[in-house]
Amino acid sequence: MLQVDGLTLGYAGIRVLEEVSLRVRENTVTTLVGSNGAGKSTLMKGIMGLKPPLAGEVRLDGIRLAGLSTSEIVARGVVLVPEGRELFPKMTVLENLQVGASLGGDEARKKRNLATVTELFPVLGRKLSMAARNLSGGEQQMLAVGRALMASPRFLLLDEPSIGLAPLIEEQLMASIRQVANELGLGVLLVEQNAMLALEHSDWAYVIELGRITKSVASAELVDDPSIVDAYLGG
Amino acid sequence: MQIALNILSLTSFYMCFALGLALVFGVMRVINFAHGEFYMIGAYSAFLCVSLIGPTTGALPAYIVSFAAAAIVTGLLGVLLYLVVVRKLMDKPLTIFIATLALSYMLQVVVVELFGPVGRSLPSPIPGIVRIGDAILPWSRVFVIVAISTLSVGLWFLLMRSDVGRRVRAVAQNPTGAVLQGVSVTRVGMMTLVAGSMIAGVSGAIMAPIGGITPFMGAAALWKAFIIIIVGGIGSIWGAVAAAFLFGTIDTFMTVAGAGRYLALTNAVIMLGVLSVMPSGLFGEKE
Ligand SMILES: Nc1ncnc2c1ncn2[C@@H]1O[C@H](COP(=O)(O)OP(=O)(O)OP(=O)(O)O)[C@@H](O)[C@H]1O
Ligand SMILES: [Mg+2]
Repeated sequence: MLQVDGLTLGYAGIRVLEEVSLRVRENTVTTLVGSNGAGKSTLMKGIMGLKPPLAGEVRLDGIRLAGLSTSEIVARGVVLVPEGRELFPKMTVLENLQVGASLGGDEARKKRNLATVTELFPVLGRKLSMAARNLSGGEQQMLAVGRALMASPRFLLLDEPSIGLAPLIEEQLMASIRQVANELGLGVLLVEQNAMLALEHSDWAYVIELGRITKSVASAELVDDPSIVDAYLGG
Repeated sequence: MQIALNILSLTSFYMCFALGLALVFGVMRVINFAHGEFYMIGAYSAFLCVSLIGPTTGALPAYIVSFAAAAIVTGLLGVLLYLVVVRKLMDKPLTIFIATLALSYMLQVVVVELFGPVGRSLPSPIPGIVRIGDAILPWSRVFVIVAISTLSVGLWFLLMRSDVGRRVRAVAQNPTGAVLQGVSVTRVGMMTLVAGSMIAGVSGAIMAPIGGITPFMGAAALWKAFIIIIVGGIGSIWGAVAAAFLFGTIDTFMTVAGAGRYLALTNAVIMLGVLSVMPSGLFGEKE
């Protein structure tokens, strides 16, 4: 289990997260719902050790991650697909995936991961030798998710993974994420523009407002909550 | 034939030397002004090795040992440069620039004190000549061509085909993306700096028997590397290779035509010419 306890984070003295606590379990998709600027991306950076906390901690299976570098956190199986993708533009699709697999285990494991990724996103499989920057926006988004899966994550943090995807592909991606989570026993923490869609494909949900967690409920329940529907789910 | 082989060896040398510098810059955004002196130190390591053990082992084994010696000496210098200068000043590129400039002068002075300011020449690694087709080449030249092209092809494969090479390119293209995939940017940075230094040193040892050596040879080599990187396009590996070939060819023909003393001038004119037409170099990114 990935566990965030009382995490407080800020930029240049301004607090962005106030004592945030949440849990991400294996084999489940957890959605983080919140409006722009609520602190969702900041929370994910905090989990990855990209921003030192002012207070609180992150634990993986009960072990504190404080003091570990981001690459050490990745090595322990927590991987982020960041806002803005952060691909290697001049490298091919395959090379992007191979870098993703740097800490992904032995050769057999890497082969299996590559098969999983190309099955999930067949278009990547067809364009393995194309430079990443020549992919369409949606394909680049798929590559970012695929690259993260190459690292054999146990916990996958997805920051708006379906940005730029056509509605049909978006729907497919959400379904695939659920499927991959179940097949590989992954714990997924998901932030999505289309919160309604994300909730449909997730098990548990947290609502974050101005850097504080204000709700923690089963996704199905949140979908029926009128105040939430008004605020985040577009009525 | 002879000209083709000369182009090959000069291109390989330019490629090794310029890529070492370009990789360090690409990965760490640091310009190592002492890169040329690492090349010079490599050449002097070869000189020492060949004068010390050459008489007992023969010239060829002494040269081969000298490559390892050059790699070790410049590799250690690279480690030292990283630990003493780069690590502490990581976010102050201008200070690193000045510090490596200082290191470059220090190394020159040290070599002048140890070996004198006058240039030296090294004995031929293999005596005699060889006929290849209608060309007559000294064996020593063949030796240099084989060694330097092996080094450049090896470097190319390491960079483009190995896991380590992919990680180096990943960090150069997007450090944030690389960190998020578990690549340790500091480790890759240190490795690149040390490897770049070693490549400069080994190139110096390889090239020493044909060019002769002086304590000031690094400056000219560094200048050439800058021209290659800028003409090729900053940040482009293909560009650096293409520009290395361009200048390898031009310099060979000019030397053959007896116009060697105009090399620096011509290179500079070509650089300015290319930049005026293509401001980001032949293969550079348009900003
Ligand atoms: N580098 C930064 N420096 C200063 N403030 C920042 C920085 N990054 C984010 N912030 C601030 O932190 C707050 C939370 O930002 P964050 O990116 O975490 O929001 P978010 O929930 O991901 O929003 P969105 O849905 O728009 O992606 C915002 O008020 C933002 O202005
Ligand atoms: Mg965000």
